[in-house]
Amino acid sequence: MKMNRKIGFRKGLWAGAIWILTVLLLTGCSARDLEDRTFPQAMEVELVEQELQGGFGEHTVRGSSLQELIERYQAESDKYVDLGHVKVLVLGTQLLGQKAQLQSLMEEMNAQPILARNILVVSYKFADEKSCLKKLEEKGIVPGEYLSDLYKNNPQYKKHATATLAEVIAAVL
Amino acid sequence: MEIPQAESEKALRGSREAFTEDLKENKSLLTKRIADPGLVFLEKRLGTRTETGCCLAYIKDIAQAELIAGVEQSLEEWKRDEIMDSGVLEQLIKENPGSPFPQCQMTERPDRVCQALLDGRMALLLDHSPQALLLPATLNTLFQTSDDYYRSFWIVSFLRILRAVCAWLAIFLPGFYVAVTCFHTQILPTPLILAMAKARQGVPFPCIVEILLMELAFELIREAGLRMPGAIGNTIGIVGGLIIGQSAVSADLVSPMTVVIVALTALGSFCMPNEEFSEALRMIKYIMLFLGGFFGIFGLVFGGYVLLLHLAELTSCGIPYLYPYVAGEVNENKDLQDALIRAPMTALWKRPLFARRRQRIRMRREGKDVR
Amino acid sequence: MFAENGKISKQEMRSLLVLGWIGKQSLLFPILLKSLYGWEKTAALLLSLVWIVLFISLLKKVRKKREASMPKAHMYLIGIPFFFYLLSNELYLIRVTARVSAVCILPETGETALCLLLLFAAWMAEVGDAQKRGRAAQALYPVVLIALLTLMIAALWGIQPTYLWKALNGNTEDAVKMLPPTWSAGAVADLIQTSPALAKGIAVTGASLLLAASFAEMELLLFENMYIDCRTMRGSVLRVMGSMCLLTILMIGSFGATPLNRLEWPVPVLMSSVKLPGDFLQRWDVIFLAILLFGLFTAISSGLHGLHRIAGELLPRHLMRLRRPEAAGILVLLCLIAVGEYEQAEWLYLKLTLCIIVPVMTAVLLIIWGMRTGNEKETHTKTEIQDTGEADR
Repeated sequence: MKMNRKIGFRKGLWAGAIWILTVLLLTGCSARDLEDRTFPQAMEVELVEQELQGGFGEHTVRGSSLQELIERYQAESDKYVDLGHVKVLVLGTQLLGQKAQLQSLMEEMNAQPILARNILVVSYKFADEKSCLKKLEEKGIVPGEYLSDLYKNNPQYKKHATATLAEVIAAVL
Repeated sequence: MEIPQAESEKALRGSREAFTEDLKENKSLLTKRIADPGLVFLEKRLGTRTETGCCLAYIKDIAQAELIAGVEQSLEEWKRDEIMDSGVLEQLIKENPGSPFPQCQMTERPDRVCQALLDGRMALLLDHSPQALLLPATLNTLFQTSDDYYRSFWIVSFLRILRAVCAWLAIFLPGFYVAVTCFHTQILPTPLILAMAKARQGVPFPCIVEILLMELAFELIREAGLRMPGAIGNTIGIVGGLIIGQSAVSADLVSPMTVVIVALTALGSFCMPNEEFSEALRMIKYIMLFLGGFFGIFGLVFGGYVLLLHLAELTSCGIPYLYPYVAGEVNENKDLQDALIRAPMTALWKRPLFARRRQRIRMRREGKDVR
Repeated sequence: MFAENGKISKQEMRSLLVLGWIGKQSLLFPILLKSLYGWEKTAALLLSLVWIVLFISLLKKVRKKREASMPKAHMYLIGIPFFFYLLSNELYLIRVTARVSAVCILPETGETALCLLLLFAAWMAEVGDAQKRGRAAQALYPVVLIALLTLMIAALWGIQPTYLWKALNGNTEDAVKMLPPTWSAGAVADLIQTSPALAKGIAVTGASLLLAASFAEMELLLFENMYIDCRTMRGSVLRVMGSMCLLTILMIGSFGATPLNRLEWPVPVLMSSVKLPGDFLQRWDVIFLAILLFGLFTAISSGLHGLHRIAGELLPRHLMRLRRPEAAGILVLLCLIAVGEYEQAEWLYLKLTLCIIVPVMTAVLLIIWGMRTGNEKETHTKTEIQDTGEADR
């Protein structure tokens, strides 16, 4: 019986080795090191000429949907855009005034599991500037960290009601 | 012969005696601690050319007859020219020889052996070998030290939980680190991730290669320290670790975080009371490292599940390796009182499953029912 | 010794069932209850419990007949649709696990590789000792339950009472929007507008039947009567449904009823929105999902075991050498390739299997039970007449 077990063990080892090799070959190299990524902490979206305009601070792009915005931003960036650290979403007042576009954006955000439901949502009136996040960065401030800490630590801002992404989605949808 | 001190199983409390290489002396170390006339030494001669003396020790009315018969049968099964050490014997009588996990518990302490005999287990003593083998061995017994019964249950419970955490660190920490940095950065706080990304600037190797290099360097230092005599061995360990670690970071070969991860993993494996179990963990961590590097946390879950299936399949003298975490209901879950958390000594009135059913009560209190 | 008797204990069986169903239902039940709004989901969960208990009673009665003696033809009638159920269930479980893992935690990893890993783990669980699956499940049971409890407690802090209140009131406008496009212009929309209570009743009953159908692997009770008893099964179902009810309430309170219906897999999303005190980790979804994956691994390995087991009942004697876990694994692999992506596996399971094959399975069981009961009554009546005749003489 132990000899049969030995043969079975050998067969199992071969089978396991072939299986693992096949799986590894099918995997490709999807692992990305930290230095190959960028970790934006804030995201801005505004409606400009019936198109979405937005970005993560370095530059802005235009697109007809959230997915297109992300893809276009990624195409212009030399590093992988890791959305898992986004803490604040800045929505422009133009966008907030257009129910249909806002609803469509919220549907897309609802379907994105990488964006946490407890990220803060703030509104901003875009004037001439394309990007409010870039404006903050030019002052040496990290926008996402600054905005989230503002509403968390500053007593004057803390008393204002803040909305999370989950609340905005629930209100809009 | 002078009784030596235990070197590989240090304890803060309790006896410091260790077995010698003489079978008669080892037997006397047991008989001086257990006065019970039921203590039996079943003598055998193993090795057709060496005729090495071996004895199977058990307490007649406590140990289960089927377990004794099973071990006797295993001893008779293999006819080998020589049995030089208890390690050879252990590999021959193992029920699952393909498993890297020990299925006998090796010890050099007589007090540990006596504790095991009184629990209903058996001990194999071999002439010219200072280590005894305890059977059956479960995962739970491999996490216990001899002084677990000599100290307060609070301290012991804390230490056992710490050992379980250390075992987890020893197996999964490198793989988890690679998985988090390569796939799931959203787990860690942003400032930490940014600091780690900054520290990795200039490092030419991918994260998985970095960890692999440092782990192999550590294995080299460990082996070199073991083989070198006395003071040189200790020095190599300290100097090698410091110099290699510091120089590698300064030369941007590895990031500082990698050194921390490798150090924590090493400490985790060193915290295991059983050396063979610790070696098995050290081997498995490389598999987890590859799985974490290729498949992130999915790979670690896959590896953990397959590892758990393997452990669930193992038995020692017919007792499941994961006992009492599985099948604990056979002894009314009483053995869980002496598992991850140890109950107070006053609550440990029952022997574990290894003992005969009629001999399960080991403690009474005058005038009161401990149950 | 007791470890080598080839038996799984009741505790191990309960652990296997609970873990497997928690893993599977966490992803499946929101899809099955998508057409319901708010509190209707909880009502459907509770009603499905009734159907499941009835199904277990039916299985118990048919099992008694089987123990007495059952013709081989009846076993084939039961076994063949059940085999198809198990196969499509296994395909769905592997595909959905790979898809959720790829979407939520491994964005750029191929699903094929993940499917192969899942199948390999299931094969490892089936080959060798029959008890290792049960022991592994028993060891994992407290870990998964503690994680689930922690998730529920953490999610409790993020609940908005207004969402729960709104869900209680219901919303016919949303109910119309929730209908699939083919229905919204038809009589069902009118029914919802004119008799909302009747429409809701029909929707809740339908969804509860679908949900109960997704537990049809319980039919294994007929084949593994040594290991499973009805009480263990009922207890396991109660635990799972209780957890799902609580999760439903927490998800309604966290997301709101309408956004909840728009999420394909709301449980992983709930995991991403909880925060544990101390801010030790920024997000816990990966950790919770990893623990949930253990449940899914258990479910997939149980599925392969079921296929292997039923094949043994159905295969003719000269093909008995095919009764190996490797054969079952290769069959699943070939079907995975044939069926294609997740969407096809989902259609096969939700539309074909739950809506057609499970009712056929239930009908077969009812007929067999009815036939045997009828035959026994006839035999009993004949015996009575004979006895009376003798007494008269």
